[in-house]
Amino acid sequence: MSDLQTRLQTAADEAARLGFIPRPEAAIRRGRQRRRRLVGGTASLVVLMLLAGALGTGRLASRQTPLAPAPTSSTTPTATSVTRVPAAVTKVVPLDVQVHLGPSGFPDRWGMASELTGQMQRCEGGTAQVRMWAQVLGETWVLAAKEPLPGKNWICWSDGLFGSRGSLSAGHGGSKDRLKLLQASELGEPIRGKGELAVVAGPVTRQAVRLRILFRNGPPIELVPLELGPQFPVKFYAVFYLQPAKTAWMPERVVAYDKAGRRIAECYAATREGDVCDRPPGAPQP
Amino acid sequence: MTASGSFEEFYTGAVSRLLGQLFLVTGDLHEAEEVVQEAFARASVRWSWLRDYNAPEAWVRRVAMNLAADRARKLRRQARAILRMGPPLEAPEVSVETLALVEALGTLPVRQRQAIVLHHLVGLPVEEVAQTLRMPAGTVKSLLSRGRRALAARLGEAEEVRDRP
Repeated sequence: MSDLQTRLQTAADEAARLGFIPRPEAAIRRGRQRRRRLVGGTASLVVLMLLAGALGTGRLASRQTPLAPAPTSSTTPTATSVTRVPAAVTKVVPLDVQVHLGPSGFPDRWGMASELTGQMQRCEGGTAQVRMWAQVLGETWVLAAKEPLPGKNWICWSDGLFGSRGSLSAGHGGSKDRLKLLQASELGEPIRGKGELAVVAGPVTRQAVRLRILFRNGPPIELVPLELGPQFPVKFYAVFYLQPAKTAWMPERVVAYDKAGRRIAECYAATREGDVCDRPPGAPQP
Repeated sequence: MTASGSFEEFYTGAVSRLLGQLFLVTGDLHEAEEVVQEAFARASVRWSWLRDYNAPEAWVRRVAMNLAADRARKLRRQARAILRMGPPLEAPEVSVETLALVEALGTLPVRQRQAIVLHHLVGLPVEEVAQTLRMPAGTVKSLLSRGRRALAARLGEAEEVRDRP
């Protein structure tokens, strides 16, 4: 076995020589197809998790009713349980998920935090740190952010979904976006036998006290954005749901409301990093 | 090493290397092509931030290794069905030496194969193998030791290799 390395290398070289290697365009095309599969949405109903807010409710139920009087501030969400998941996902299934604020208790067994914050090296700011996290259906969702430097008008943030062995299944990050009123990142990952897990998350102006996630075919979800601390000029939010396999991309819209119930910002959820807000080509008109 | 260039450049520079490595893990060239392509497909849609990684190839390798392990588990379950469906796709002929090595590797559990390939072929130290496979360093050492012993027995040779720190 003294030549194990040599034998392995010889065999690997031989395989590389004999194997079929498509052009890079094939991998790019395949990646796009996979993303379309993960993202678009037949969406029916959705439901939520969430970031419960002030008023100590611990969670917010999805509903179509007019906005309730706005809370004056967000607080740490209370512990909640995950909604029972059906054996087969034939419509959007709400997930009621506990979201933790700050890195405390984060089960970082496999370097998930460093993998996520590693994306943010080129993005100026304070310390890249886990700011929110949740565990749902064997996946771990994490959002990391850097505090803006004094005088800088951007927020550096990133979120990702990690599988049970810690592999990063999706992520956005490291953007130098100018501060926007609202951003909406969408992540999706197939969950064996349970359709696809989707997360819509992002920063929103501090003026926002309530958000509504609108789906093309299904009732909206309402939620309260969370404060991460005075060092952040924005709040953050996240909503989780299961959806069946999709046949078309139907991006969700996120609408932010102020204390008086006025619509102050609106975004289309998107899978790309950076300025996540634009109305994508082909998306239905609001 | 960062890959600040285009995805195409990165792909062209790394795909053959990864294909060879994954071939030794899967033991099947078609299977290796499939997991490597899937891993690169996932990398392509994340390239805007992946290119800033110190080692994007390590990211792709890890995804491919995970996919290989997942597929190995599925394949075990599907083995009976595959037998019913007839012989597998025809694979290009490899040399007798390679065939013997791949067959010997194929008798090891997938985690042992991965550890052997990452440590002895890719050249990762034990700690980095542990990070890649998401397991403690002690477990990696144990996998390497058992894997080498089993390989040596299969190939009829004495085990002499030691782990690098």
